[in-house]
Amino acid sequence: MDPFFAFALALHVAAGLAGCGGAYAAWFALSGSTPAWRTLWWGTAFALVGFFMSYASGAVYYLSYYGKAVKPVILQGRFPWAHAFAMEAKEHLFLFLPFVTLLLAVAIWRYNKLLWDSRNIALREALAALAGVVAAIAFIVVLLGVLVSGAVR
Amino acid sequence: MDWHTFFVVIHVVGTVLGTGGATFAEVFLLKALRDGIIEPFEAEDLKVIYRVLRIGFVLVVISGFGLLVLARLEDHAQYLYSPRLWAKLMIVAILAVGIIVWRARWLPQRVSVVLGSALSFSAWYAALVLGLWRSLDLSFPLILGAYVVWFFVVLLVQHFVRRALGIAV
Repeated sequence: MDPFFAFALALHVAAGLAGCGGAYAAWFALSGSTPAWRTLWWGTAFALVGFFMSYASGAVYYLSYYGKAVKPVILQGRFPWAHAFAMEAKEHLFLFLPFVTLLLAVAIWRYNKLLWDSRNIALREALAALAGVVAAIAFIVVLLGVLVSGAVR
Repeated sequence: MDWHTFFVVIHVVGTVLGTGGATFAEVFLLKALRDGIIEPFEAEDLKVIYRVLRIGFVLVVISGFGLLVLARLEDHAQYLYSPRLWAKLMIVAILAVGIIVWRARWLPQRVSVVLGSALSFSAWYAALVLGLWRSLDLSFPLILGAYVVWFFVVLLVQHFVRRALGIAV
């Protein structure tokens, strides 16, 4: 593989993983009854930057390399469903993930001072659920990515 | 040092921190709960141990995915369909859920402590065994089934140990 595309793929995985970890950290921070500002702030920032970076590097890899060099290998190999199902599901799930994360980040940064106020438990729980859903979807996307990568042989 | 060795070293360090941390978390938690009250210095010790556990978790995840990317880039994609690898990925998800269960304020404290502790202890040891047992030749559902059995064994043993020590969680 061309070093540029190898770098794009590695960046796609690393940034996506950072995003998944960040969303998970935000979920962790919002699940407790004691404030965890630093974890929440850094987690949300990692999630947002990570998903957008993964989005961009994944797009470069997908549009310039995957379609020509990887997809035909998968479709002619033992696991054609890895493209037909896993890649299709992965890219559609991933399309909206950065934007849901943007929503989460805006809500957290907008309401940061109010989140651990006892009158706003419902708000914190709703944001915790959203962060949990983002982390879970990101983890599913990661697993689908492993399935796609494993089919290239 | 090549990338593979680097990631393997980090992976082993993360597993050691996680498994050791889970063991000490269990011991210190039992010690702290014996008199029914977690004193501030005991809470401080537990906080440090949980931090070590989380560091171990982060190291295991980062190095694990580093190894996966290397497998893809070095044309060893067949490893990515190994049942042992998929079982380890599921264990990572269980560990992540276990950490949330520990912290979750929406769960009753008793459930949070009992479940969080059993999930963390059983999953870290399962990860250790899966990592070391390279010749393990079982299907993915069988490995997961074995983990579920192991989880209930841990839950039961922890229950009896607490009862023997007179700890009411």
